[in-house]
Amino acid sequence: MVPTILVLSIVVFVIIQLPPGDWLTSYVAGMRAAGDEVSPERIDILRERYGFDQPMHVKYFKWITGIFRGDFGFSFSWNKPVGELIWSRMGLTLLVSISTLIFTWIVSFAIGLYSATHQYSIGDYLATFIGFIGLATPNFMLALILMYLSFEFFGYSISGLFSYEYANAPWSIAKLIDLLKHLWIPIIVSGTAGTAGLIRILRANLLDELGKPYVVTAKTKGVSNLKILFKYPVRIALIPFISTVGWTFASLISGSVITAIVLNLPTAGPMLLQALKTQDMYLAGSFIFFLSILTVIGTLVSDILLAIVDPRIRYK
Amino acid sequence: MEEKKAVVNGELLEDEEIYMSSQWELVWKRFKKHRLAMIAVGVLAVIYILSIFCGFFSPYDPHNYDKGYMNAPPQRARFFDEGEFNLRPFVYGYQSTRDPETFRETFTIDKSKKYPIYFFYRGDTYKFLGFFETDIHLFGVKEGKIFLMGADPMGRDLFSRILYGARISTSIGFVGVFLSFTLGITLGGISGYYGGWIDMLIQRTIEFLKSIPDIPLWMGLGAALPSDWGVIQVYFAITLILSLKGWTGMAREVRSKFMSLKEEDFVMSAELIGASKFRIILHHMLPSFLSHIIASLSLAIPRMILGETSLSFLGLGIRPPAISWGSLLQSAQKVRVISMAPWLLLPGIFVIITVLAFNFLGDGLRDAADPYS
Amino acid sequence: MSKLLEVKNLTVNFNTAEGIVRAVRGVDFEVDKNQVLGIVGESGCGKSVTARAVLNVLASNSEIMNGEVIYHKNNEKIDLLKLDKDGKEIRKIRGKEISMIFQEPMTSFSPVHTVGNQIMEAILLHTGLDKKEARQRAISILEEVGIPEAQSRIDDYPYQLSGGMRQRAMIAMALSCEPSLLLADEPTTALDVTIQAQILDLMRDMKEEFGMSIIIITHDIGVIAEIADQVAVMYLGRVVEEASVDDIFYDPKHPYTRALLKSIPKITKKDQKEKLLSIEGTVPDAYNIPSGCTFHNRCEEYMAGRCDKIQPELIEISPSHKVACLLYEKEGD
Repeated sequence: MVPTILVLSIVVFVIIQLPPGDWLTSYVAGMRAAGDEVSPERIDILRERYGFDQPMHVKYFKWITGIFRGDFGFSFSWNKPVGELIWSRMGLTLLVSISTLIFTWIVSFAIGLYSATHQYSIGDYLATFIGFIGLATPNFMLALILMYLSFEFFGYSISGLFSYEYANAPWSIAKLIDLLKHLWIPIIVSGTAGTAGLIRILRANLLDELGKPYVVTAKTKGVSNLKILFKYPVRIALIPFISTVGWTFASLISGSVITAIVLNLPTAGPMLLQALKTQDMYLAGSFIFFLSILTVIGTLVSDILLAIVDPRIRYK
Repeated sequence: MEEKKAVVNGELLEDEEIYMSSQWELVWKRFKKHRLAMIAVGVLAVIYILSIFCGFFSPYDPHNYDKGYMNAPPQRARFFDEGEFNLRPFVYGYQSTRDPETFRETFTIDKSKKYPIYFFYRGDTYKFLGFFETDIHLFGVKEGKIFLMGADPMGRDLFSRILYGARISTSIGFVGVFLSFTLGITLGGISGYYGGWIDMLIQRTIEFLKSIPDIPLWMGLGAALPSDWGVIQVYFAITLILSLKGWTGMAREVRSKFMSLKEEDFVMSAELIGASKFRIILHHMLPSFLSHIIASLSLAIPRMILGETSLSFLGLGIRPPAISWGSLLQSAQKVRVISMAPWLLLPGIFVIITVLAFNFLGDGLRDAADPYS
Repeated sequence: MSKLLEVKNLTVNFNTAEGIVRAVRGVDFEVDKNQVLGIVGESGCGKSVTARAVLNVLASNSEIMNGEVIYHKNNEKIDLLKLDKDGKEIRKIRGKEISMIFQEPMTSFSPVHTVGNQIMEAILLHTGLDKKEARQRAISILEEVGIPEAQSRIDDYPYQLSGGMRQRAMIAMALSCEPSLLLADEPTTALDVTIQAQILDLMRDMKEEFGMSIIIITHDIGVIAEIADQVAVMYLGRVVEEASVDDIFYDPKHPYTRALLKSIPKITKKDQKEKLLSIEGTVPDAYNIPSGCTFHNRCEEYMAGRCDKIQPELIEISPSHKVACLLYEKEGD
């Protein structure tokens, strides 16, 4: 995991350095254009801090050591240190992603189980059909359609995570309830594709397992069908289900970025897009870095879970 | 059958061909049974024909705008005018009124204006297949306008724009998958056949690439493309960005197939009679899982299409004047715009249909390719 | 001797995409208490389906069209096929009265549960024992079937055991509730020859110890010779001959049984050359079962105009020897 994050940091740094020109110059030019003068001392401090005159590896070294001290660089469009900007947004990103993951799991488990045990029933066909549509619809498209429908039929626009009056208020029970009221839309939007994928995986695995000889063995022991279903095939079909949590989580994080942009959520997505468009590269790079780290952690968690649920892996 | 393939002389190679064709026949036979996949093939054929000959099928130049028709709603081609049958289909004209309170322009159908539709109509010039300049369109109207799918906020014909957008959106899947395929099969093959440190290196790279979330990575790279790049450069750069992670899945699949095939008797016997490694890979190993690869390719194309659409939608992908389905959807970002002109979401419907069709096709191919599943 | 199980006119069909397969077509046999019945036949003859039909645990695309499976429980006669196949009554018989072992112990055990867990499942279900006692019972039965260090092996997962050990564990699981009848479906097929002999010995010992009956299903006539008391020979979903093991080996009546016996290699003196024979042709496609006697197209004693027209019934030609062949039916019947 540590080497992965190290390589990751290099890639992120390359992305930060990709835009042509040095952004200090464009920053100064931008400030001047806005009528603000930047003092030469400040320019010197910034130049020294980020090592602009120095070769690439020195710049990288300055950046990465800064991160260990909690200094992620400076956002020039916000005129604030990146560290101050990203945490609340990363926190909400994590909140949305984890709630979506839980939603995805519960829904796909229930539907997958139903589909597999009622193969070729109307419900199964319906689930398969909705699953296919869910896989084929881009997140942002679903968000746009939901927004359009709610605007057209209920007369309000569903965006953001908080109502206006709570947006900048300190945390309270009322704010939490307000958050929950808004949360379900991004959960559905970014969870649908993942849910559809997981339903298909679970259904296929479960159908596979239901035909295995050990199911017959359990039957000949006199175990009831329901108990067999949950003790054996479901348990075993859950292994790939759980092992995919890594990529499900990764794709949720990835997908939530675009959902958040359309729904204008106060999460990483919109600020990342904004930062990329204004070439505010330390901010953008930090977001990409942390989103990637979340993915790496997700993969790690799924490896650990896999070892817990599959004894065959544990003993290897 | 396998033993025959190992022997390399003229007569037996013929046998090999007979064997191969029967394998493909089997695949085809099984594929035909998959009704959804067959429908998907038809749908995709239509979409690709429309996109290849987009200039001919679209009534207007996609950049041709008319301020008088901003956000004009879709029209229906009709045969009946107040119950009276016309052999030549026609469209009704628009009546535009400005709402005195909101100053918003609204369009209503004006039944007094009737514009007949002419086929093989001479309109805007375009380059047929990119070579010959011509001005013949499948259909068009002489007076008024024909907006079968409405107009965009600049008063451009959405139908024409969708067809032109299809050219980029559907081809990027193919080009991207071709890149992924080449990379995946080469690196996966090397990894699986040689093993050792090179396998180790490639596997670590794949694991690493897989750990970066798609969209932020694409956004980061998409944003880094120089703004002065031309349409073609951006197109290939975007394809490259999308393929950056796409090859990893393919490589893993190829690797595991190579690992298991390496142990098979027919590969061993080919090695024993002194066939070169390259020849073994190309002639003996590749054909035995080509059908699998084709199936996973057809499942990779829709992912590419979705990726391009997302990137362009965010304004980090295909840039104007180039048109893709994603960039068309950019104009539909605000809920107010959509509620005024919901037809702006139509390019998204095309995305969904295309992706669905590819998924069904891929499923059908996968089932057909694997007789033992 | 008293009867334990009677199977009468058992008929099972499978619905497949290619059509209906008539896998078992009117099978009759009986098993007495403390007797070993061997059912032998080539693969695809319906012998495994027959075994599964006894406990009514067939695949979901199959249908029992006809027949009775009468189990004699003390003095009570129960038709197992009349019970709801997922109901409580039959579940009390499965595992407790009649249990079953399979060809492939690896896949017949769940890979993610320990052997002990799976053995204890039956014990907990059918006896009043608590978990601790059930575990003790499982350990002692594992010791009984010859698993060393049963105390620790009970917590092993199936893949940690060798093939022979797995089959022993499978037998332990089947015997854990001391059933009166053990259905063994090709229990030795997947094992090495030396292990095969050990497993057959074990089954014989267990039969003596528990006083149970066994129905052993196999394609290997050598296994039959080793363990069976009574033999039923099956061909394409029907029993073609049923007799004691001695009658089958020394006085086979049906041409199919004879051909089957000729196809086993024998150890003979060097100068006594005997050719190993195989049965001509292959088992016909189960979708198109031949008319008349289904064996007629491979039979050496084929009588044109009769064998391909009339389906012979299983008739008693001497006490305890039944055969279904027109050679033994009176002409003009």
